[in-house]
This record gives sequence, structure tokens and C-alpha cells, in this order.
Amino acid sequence: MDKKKWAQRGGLFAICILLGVALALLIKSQNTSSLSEQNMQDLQNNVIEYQRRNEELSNRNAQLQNYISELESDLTGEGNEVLSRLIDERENYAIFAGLRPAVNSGVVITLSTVPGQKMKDSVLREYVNELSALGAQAISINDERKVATTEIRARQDSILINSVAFDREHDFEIKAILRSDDLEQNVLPYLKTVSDSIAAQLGDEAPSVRIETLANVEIPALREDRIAYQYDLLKPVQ
Amino acid sequence: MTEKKKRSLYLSILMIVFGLALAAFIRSLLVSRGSGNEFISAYQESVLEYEALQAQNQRLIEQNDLLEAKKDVLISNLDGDESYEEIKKEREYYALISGIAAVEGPGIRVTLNDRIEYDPARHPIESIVHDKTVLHVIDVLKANGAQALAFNGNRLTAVAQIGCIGPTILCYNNRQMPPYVIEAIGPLEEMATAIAGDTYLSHITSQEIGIRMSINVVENLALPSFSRTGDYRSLITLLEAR
Repeated sequence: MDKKKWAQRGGLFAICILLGVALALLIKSQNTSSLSEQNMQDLQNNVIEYQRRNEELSNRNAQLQNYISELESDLTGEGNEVLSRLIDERENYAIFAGLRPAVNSGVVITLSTVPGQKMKDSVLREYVNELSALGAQAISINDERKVATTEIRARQDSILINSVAFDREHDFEIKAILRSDDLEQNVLPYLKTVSDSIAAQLGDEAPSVRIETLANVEIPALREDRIAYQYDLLKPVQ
Repeated sequence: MTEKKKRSLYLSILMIVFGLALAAFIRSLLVSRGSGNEFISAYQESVLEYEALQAQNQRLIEQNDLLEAKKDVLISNLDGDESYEEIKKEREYYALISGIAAVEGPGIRVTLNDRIEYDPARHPIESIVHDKTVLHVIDVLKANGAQALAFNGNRLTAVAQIGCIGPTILCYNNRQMPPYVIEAIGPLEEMATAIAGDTYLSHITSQEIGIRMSINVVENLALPSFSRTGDYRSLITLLEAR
């Protein structure tokens, strides 16, 4: 009797195991088939992005190799390109930091408040952020160059930009350098929608906006007396 | 019902369920051999390609780090020549403030994440982190003395680009995934107090909206060079020095 009982229980156990395996395989095949077009699109976008990044890195590494060869030949007295390279690099870093004036095609946005109203710092920041997202390579607000640590904030009757105070009841002028072939087709229409969105949010308090595209927009460098570039807490990583 | 009959009934039910599961599995195998199969194999090929590109990217980054370090060592060996000294010092200064040099110092790390189990049918749009949320945190930090910043490991520079395409946040045209981490080196207390006390951030981290935010003070925070993100020269092609 015992043997028969064990046989029955063993058989039942085996059936349950098989049932579990069949259910697990079924669920797995359901998961695989639930892949959607969106998953594929996301994956393909990621593939394209990585291809772009890898090509850029590869080019940079090749340029670094050349630079290193020049440095090595200079150190052994065989070349004289290094000084010129260092000067170029110094200048490029200064340009990248916003410490050199710049001139090229771009836009000028003039914001005027309604009499009695004060300019909102959030409006200035919105335009600046949108211009950055559009690929602006240099931006200034009332001729204050926007740099990595530029703040735009209201303090009572003024808006502080790079810690310089501007009267909130006066006009503000935002300039940006952008690619000329983008200006009419992309930048201008997009900035108009930004203006419309701000007008819808603020109603009567919205400033009036004039946007012009110009072939030569001049943007000054950050002035040396500005505290926008405090770096006393920064140490280079060795 | 006798015990024997009960056992037979249970066994029958078990066998029926097993048979149904087996049939469903065999059916799904047959269905997937149809058009779905091609889609799945194209997807799997793309996954393999993506993984290979990721691995290549990691190797290129490591190679880039080695080359940058070698370049710096060689440049430092130019000591002693007056014509180099002055230019080297200026170059290092501009590298520091432009974001080309990796830096460290006292700082804070603010982490933002979407509401848990966000459901667009039930929860407001503010319950997911947008580019404007990230930009707001950055603005608060700058207004409170931040001297260097990074977003998801990307060093922010004078030409930082943070925007949205649909539900995705881009930084320098690279897609960013949550959790979103904003780091800043600067005066610890001012920055941390400003973030903790900010009205907008308090609103979006309320139970009703549900954005998750954490603030960590770090005694020595390291921020990477912008070179980790891309080639800075591609961002200044329109700028002609006068």
C-alpha cells in the first residue's frame, strides 16, 4: 500500500512540476511577444546616439594622439609647434568660458514691460533657457555675458544678472548667437511660440516682445570685475 | 463523495489545467513563428548592436582618459621655459573656470525622481520630472553661490543645453534617464538651505504631486571635465574672438 501511495504522490509531484514549467514558458513567450514598435524605436534612437558619441570620441582621441606626438617631439627638441598649440588651446578655453567677445549671426529679443509693471526674472530665465536648448553658443542679457554660473534673479525692484542690478521697470535685451541657417526656419517660429505661451500664462502682466534676426550680433565677454566666476572653492582633480 | 472519488476529481482537474497550459504554450510558439518572429529577431539584433556600441564607448572613454593624462604630464614637463609658463598658467585658469578641468570641493547632490507608479490618467503632469524642474534646481543653486555644476555627470558650462523632447530630458543633446542628479560645488549651507526651503520644490515633493527628492551634502564632491560629455570645440564654432 505504501508503495502505491508513494507512486501516486510521486506522479502528482511530477505533474505539478510539468505544469509549472509549462506556465513559466508560456509567460516567457508572452513577455517576448509584448515588444512594441516603441521599444524598437527607443532602442534604435539609442543606437544612433551611441554611434554619434563614439565617432566624436574617436576623432578626439586621434587629435589627442597628434598633440601628444607634437609635445613629445618638442620636448626632445625636434619640433616647435607646441607653443602655438598651447596658445590656441588657451584661447579656445577662454572663448568656451565666455571670456572673449563674440560676433556672428543671431537674434536680439527686446522685452518691454507695461508701465507700472515689473519684469519677472522667470521670463528672462525662460528665454535664456530656450535659447540655450536651441543651441545658442553665446548669450547676453543687457550686455552681461551668460556664463556657467550666471544667475538671473529678482531682488525687490531690480533683477540681478552676474550680480549687476537692472531696474525691473526698464527694457531688457537678450542677445544670442545661433547658426544662420536655423534662424528663420526654426529659431524665430519657436521663440514666437515661447512668447505666446508666456503671454497666455501672464495675461496683462506679460511684457511686449520684439524679436529680430541679425547677421551680426555682438556679444561682449564677461567683464573681469564680475564675481560670476568665483572659483575659490574649486580645486583641480589631480 | 468518497475519498477515492475526490482524489480522482482533483487529479482530473489538474490534468485539464496542465493540458490547457500546454496547449496555450504550443499555440503561442506557432503564432510567434509568424510575422512576430521577424520583429523579435530584428529587435534582438539591435540589442546586440547597442551592447557592442556601449562596450566600444567605454573603451573609447578609457582611452581618452589615458591620452588626456599623458598630455597633461607632457605639458607639465614644459616647466622652466618662460614662454610656456605664463601661457600654461592662463590655460589652466581658463580650463578651471570653463569646465574643461575636472574639479573637486565641498558641495551638494540633489537627486530627483518621478512619482512612484506614475499614472498619467490619475496623476498631474508635474508628477514626472521635466527639464524645467531640473533647470529650477540649477537656478536655485546658482543664486546661492554654486561655482561649478553638473547634471547626470555632464559638466555644465557657459553653453549648457538642457531641454525636453517629449518625455525625455536632453543635456547637450544626450538623453538623460532618471534618477536625475544635479551636483554643485559651492557654499554648502547656503545651497542646502535654499533647496530645502524652496517653495516650488516643496510643492512638487508634496504627497499630492509626489516627486521624489533627496539632498546630500558631500564634503569633497568631484565634478568631471566637460570632455567626458563631448568636444567643447563643437559648441563654439560660431564664436570668433575679436
